[in-house]
Amino acid sequence: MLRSIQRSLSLSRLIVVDGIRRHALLALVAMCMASEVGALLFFDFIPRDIGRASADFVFSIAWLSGFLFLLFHAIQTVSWREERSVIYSLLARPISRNEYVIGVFWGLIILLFLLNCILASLGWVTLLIIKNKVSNDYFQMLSPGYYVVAWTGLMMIEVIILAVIMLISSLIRGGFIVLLLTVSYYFICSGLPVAKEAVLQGVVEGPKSILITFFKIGTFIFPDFAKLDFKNFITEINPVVQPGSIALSFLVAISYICLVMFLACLVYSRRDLK
Amino acid sequence: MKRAILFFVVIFVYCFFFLKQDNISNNQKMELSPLLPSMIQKVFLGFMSQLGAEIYFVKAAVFLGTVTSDDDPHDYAPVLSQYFDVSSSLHPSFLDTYFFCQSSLSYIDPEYSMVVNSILDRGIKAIPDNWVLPLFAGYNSMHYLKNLNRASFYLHEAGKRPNAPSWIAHLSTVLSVGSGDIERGISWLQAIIEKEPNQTVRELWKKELAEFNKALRVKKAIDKYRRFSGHYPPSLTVLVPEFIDEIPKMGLAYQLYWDPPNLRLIRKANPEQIRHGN
Repeated sequence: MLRSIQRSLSLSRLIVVDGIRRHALLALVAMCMASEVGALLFFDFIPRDIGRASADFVFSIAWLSGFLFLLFHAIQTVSWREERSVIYSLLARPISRNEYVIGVFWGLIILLFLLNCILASLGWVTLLIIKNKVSNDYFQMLSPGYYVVAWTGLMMIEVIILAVIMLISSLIRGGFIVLLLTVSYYFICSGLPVAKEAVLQGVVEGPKSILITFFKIGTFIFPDFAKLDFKNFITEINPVVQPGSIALSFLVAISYICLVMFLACLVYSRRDLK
Repeated sequence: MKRAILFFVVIFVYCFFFLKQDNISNNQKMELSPLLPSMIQKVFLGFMSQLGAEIYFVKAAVFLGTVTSDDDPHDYAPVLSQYFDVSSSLHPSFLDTYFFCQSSLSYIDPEYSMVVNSILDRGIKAIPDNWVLPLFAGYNSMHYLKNLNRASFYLHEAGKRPNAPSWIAHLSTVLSVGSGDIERGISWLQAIIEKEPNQTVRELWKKELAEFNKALRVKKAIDKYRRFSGHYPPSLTVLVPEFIDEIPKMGLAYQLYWDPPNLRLIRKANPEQIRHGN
């Protein structure tokens, strides 16, 4: 068991080093850092709710950078393409397929974590600068606790998508198709809660109970990312939030990730390499 | 050599057309293009919904900066209201949308006042500790829509919120009796008298409560008349002496106004309320 973990960690270190040396990835980080600093210009357009708008801007840039990382670097790394010799790596290396999957997964999580750490630190400094620049009436609260919680929520969303990328890659060969399916997955996750709300409001006609059951099953497979979106709480003075519900959201996310990764490992270990 | 000449010709042609287009767009007024419905935007923007809302707000705010007094608000109001509607739907907690919506649309005509109030309702629900938004909605109901009853509910809601000035809750009682619901006005006024720490203000409001109670006696007499005769009295004087000993003399601030089926208690300082009902 210990050796298995060591092999997975060794592979994940390789993935991290490979990621760090990629110029495209470094350019993405640099671009995102520059964009986050753009919050210093963006808040000039907001007359009143400056704190909220600045925090939304910082998190949206971080989300966008994480999403680009997942769509372009992560999918490339895990895809079954012949050019990347993934298949030959699996045959040549003295590493089981499960260890390979977990190693790659952890390597990408570490890269994602590094990216988020850089952007979180820069984002915090940016928000502090903005808060000191404007009157207290326009930026009343900046909570470090909720900032960390919000960033953890963002990271959870990205790890969920990464786990889904691993699963889709195990089933389908080729990077572009995996990219399309991942984007479709994201849109379904965003769209299901909206459709559910439309049914509840009576905007969409149809048998309500059947549709609500359908949406329940749907959100079991395609989770509602809004439940991990805590960025509104960072600048609220008295946020109405129950710690239990935040913890529950994280637990649901972690269990979903474990389930998806289990399925990915299952498919990888049984999949014919040809 | 030929390639260099060709390159400069292409550059020149591009510069010519670019400058022409730039000149035309500089002389054109900024226009807002219609937006996709908020539900579709929510799907595509996802985690970035809030930023999307803020960007639409900025676009609307920049557009409002180009509007002049010669422009007819009816020309741009439909699209502008859509921007505020989508922005508030994507990010209901973002306060600026409501302030700009109120200042730029509510005065145009009653139809847009109703649109503004429907947008403000979202903010009232999403930001429970803000008293300004229900105050805006109450003002729109009172001033533009002439619906004192609805205005009283909005102002009552505003008065309950943290840090709201006490005059807002008091104004809701004035509007309530002005719309004809005297019992509700009395119960609200009694509640705010109990909470008011300032003794001078309490005494003042107790005098008002006495006026409201006088009006309630007349209302009860009207109800008795109606049960007896099956219709509302043509005027208040017919109630005397069978149903009420005399029509009470109101104080300096208020006067009774019989507007069947509503008995309204109008502030004498505001004769407009006499001409405009619910």
